[in-house]
Amino acid sequence: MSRLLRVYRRVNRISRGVRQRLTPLGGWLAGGWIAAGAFGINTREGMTYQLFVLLTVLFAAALLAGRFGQLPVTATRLLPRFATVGQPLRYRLHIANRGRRAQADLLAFDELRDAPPAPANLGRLPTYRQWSRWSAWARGVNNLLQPLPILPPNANTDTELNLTPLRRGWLEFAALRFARPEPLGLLRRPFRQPLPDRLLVLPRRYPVPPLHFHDGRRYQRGGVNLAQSVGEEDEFVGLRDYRPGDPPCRIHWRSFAKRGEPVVKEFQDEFFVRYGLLLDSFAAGVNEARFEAAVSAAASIATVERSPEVLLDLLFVGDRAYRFTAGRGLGQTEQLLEILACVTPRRDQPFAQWLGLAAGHAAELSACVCILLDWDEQRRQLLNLLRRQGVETVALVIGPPSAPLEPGIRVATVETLALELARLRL
Amino acid sequence: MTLTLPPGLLAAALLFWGWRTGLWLPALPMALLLELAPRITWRWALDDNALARVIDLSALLWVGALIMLFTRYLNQPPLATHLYTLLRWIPLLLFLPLAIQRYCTAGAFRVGHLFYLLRRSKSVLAQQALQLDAPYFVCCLLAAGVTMQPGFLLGIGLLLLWLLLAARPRRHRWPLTLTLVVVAALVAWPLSAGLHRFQLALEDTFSEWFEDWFIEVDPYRARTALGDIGELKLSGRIVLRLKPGPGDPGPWLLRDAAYNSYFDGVWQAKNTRFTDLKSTGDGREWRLLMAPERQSRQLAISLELRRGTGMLPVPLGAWQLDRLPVGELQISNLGAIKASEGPGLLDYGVEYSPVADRDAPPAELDLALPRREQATLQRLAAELDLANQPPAVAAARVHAFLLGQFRYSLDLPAPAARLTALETFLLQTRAGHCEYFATAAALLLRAAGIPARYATGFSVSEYRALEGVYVARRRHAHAWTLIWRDGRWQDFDATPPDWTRVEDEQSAWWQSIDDLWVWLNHQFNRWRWQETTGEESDNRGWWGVSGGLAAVLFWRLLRRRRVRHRSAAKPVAATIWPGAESPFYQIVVALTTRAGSRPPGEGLEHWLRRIGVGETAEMKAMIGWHQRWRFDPAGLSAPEQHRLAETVAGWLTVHATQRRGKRFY
Repeated sequence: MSRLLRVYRRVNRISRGVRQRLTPLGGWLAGGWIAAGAFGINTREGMTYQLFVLLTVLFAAALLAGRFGQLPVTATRLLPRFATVGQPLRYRLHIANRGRRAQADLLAFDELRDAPPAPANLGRLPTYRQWSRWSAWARGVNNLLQPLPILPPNANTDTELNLTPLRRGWLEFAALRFARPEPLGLLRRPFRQPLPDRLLVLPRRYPVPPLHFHDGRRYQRGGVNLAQSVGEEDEFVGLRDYRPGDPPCRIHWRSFAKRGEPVVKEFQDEFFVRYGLLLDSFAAGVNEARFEAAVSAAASIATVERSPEVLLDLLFVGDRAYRFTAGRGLGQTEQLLEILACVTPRRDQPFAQWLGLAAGHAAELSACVCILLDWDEQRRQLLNLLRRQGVETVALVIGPPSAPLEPGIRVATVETLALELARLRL
Repeated sequence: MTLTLPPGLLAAALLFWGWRTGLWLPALPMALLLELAPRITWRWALDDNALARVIDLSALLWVGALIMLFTRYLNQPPLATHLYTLLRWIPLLLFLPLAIQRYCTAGAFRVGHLFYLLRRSKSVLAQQALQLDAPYFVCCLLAAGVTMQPGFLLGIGLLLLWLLLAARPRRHRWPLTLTLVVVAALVAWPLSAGLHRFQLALEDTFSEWFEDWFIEVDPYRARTALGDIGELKLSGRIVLRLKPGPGDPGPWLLRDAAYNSYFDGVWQAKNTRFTDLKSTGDGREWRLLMAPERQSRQLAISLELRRGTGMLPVPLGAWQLDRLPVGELQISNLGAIKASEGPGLLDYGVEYSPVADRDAPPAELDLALPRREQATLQRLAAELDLANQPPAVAAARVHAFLLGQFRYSLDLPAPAARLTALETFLLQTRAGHCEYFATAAALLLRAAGIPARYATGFSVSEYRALEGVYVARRRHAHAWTLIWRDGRWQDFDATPPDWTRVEDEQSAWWQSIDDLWVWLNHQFNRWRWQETTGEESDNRGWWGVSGGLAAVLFWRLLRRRRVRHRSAAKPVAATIWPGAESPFYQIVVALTTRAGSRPPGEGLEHWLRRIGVGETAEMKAMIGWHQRWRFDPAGLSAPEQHRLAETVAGWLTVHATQRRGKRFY
């Protein structure tokens, strides 16, 4: 199999090289060259062999003519902090032409470091098409040659390049490639400038309705240190506007009467609302697309609009159990997204780790959204554990599940994820 | 996938193709239609489905062409000839989508239109625009190369030069491209001639080697075998049509081969020599014998000739063949006629006379008896008292013997122990098919000392009213005897006359449908091969069908909504903004060519300063006038406009002087 993959890699490299080197006109004439060769085999039946010979000589001349001259152009890339899967990204390219001639008809594209897919991810005997798709996905971008504006001599030019990330995680830029057509316009000569860089691609996100759980605050051990303000401890610190879920006993009636709108008393921290977002990374027997859908679902819920006083814990198991908290000045949502951009599925960890993680934090959680990759006895135990602790729980299984679901458990497939998330009522 | 060709290039390529292939008639209107497109102001508003149907229709044309060529290939290989024909037709077959592309509002197809699986796909590949101009141009060049007329290299060289000059990169000047193409053509000229010679030399060497090792000198071996006819005879497929001349009532025995030596169930043509015949008249008339003085009759025979080569069935006594467009015709000393290098369908006339005979006179082989059956045959001949009888009497006795005591049967039982197949037929089963009767008659006559041969061919007696001709089906393949009587060879058919009835009983229930299909195929082949058969066929039906289809298509297109088309060459003034006519844009264009385009988001003044021309007082004044013209609601007064124009002209003059002095910004 590894030999087959080596052949695939070689064919892929040749195919990409040919596509980059042929202009559109060169591509059509190369097709004509092949056809003329096929029909010109018998030189007694027709004269297509003359077309074959002429095109051969023209391509040879183009190859030779393209060898002359250098490209006195250097570029620097100005990348943003983040990109998102499937969202086109425009970034700036600062190009310096140090030559005495203007450079026209240049094309450029970013070369990303090849990350050949592991044979284990490819199934038993992948076709070339499957392998090619996997390869592009692993590289992260399926970018094309993009035209550059005319680069004036001895001047700097700013322009933009586009790319659309195919996967989340780090994109490893290796070099910037320029391509310049030769005088006949059939072939392009490639120039490579090493230009390493990195860009973090965040998971794809879908619209989700705002989070509104019914139940309120929980005691937080060390809450004063964890959060910078407000909670429900006995010491009164101030007043704020009423929000749904505030107990009526906290209403400050005098201020209510004065303002005409409900105002509640705030107390020193130790009791506050904390939501959990459990991402099931136990992906044994689950394909890559389902896990990506689960990560997308978690990222969508992590970025949903919520009260500024609410804490959101992202819980998942990587090489060990992790909890990351955002809200109330402890961390930003974008940090959760950065973490989600790098989450990897675990196929070797026992599910017991999950139960331990949930049991350890359930007492602090007011509510929890569980993104599950399947539905089985172990996951049922997980939900029961949370419910027993009085945690309001919403579960979304990225299906199809291998066992019948309990009532109230939502299911979404890779295809229906966007729809199910839009319907999600917490 | 999108590539715009210079105006006129496709028309030129089409005319080149028409000149090379002789298809002027379609090439001229096609070229005209393509070149008129930019000048015609309306376009069909075809939606995605309609464009997909255009591709479907084009695919249908391809399928039709492929079927037609495949049928021709079955009749007349080799395959390469028909592939070249297909190549020649490609500009015709692809023209419909190209013309629609030119005359529809979409302006291009999508890759998704080409493949059913991608029709509804939203993938990038499926949505990619596909303009057919460039592939069509390449197809025209390829199709123009199917003939051997000189001037092809010059033509494609000029067309490619035109294309490459128009599509050359902006940074290169045209003399460089011109030089490269001319040098390439000059190199290609001797190379292509050398390639041609090299192939001829290679073919000669290879064919000599191949013949030495694999092919015998004379591959033709005339053989036939008893018992092999069963399945073939049961087929009801019509293989031959016959139209007799006046006063010729039939039935007819059309011989395609004769054999003189029998051994162990196999007839062979020994000492066979083929002689080349020479055509006379218009090259399609072949004289086999001198014209007989009397009893000459005529037959018209229509026969599909597989691979253009085969044996021609003719009646005994044929002395001339007419309307036979074959390259080579040979006749053997046993009367078999072999045609080669012919078309897929032959429609030839035969002049024959019962008194004419060209076959070699009897030899020792025509009296030889097989050793294994010799005793049985001599005993039977003695029982029938054939010895020393005149041929006519002997033949009558053999005929009576076989008709009276034998019956026709398609059942072929296994030979009895210690008996050959022929002895089993003669002594035990007394039933068999025509090969047994013909063999038995020939060998019994030989036992009586009368020279006899074995002949194969077709017995034609079935009349088809639908076509008004007599037909021979495969099951009418027949074997009979040739007997030497009255100083010439004569047909002697000893098979019981009810054999055709027995054969016809075996016909399949779908035979009438099959006949209809065969007739349609025959009509198609007649149309296909009319040039070679010389037939003035009536094509009004075919033209009617094609015209009807074209009319339906045209009517449907006429019913489509047509919208006004804005020619790209003449943009309408919808996008004109105030100050668009400012002469300052001439400076912007000049500077863009030299210093590169202004990046999006960068102000005009900033850009001019950055490239080093914005600081002069003259330039600042011009920018001020220009910006006021563009953005001041009051606009620019006429004297100021005039001054701006003068200043711009002056600046451009100085700028040109600097350029000649090779000064760069």
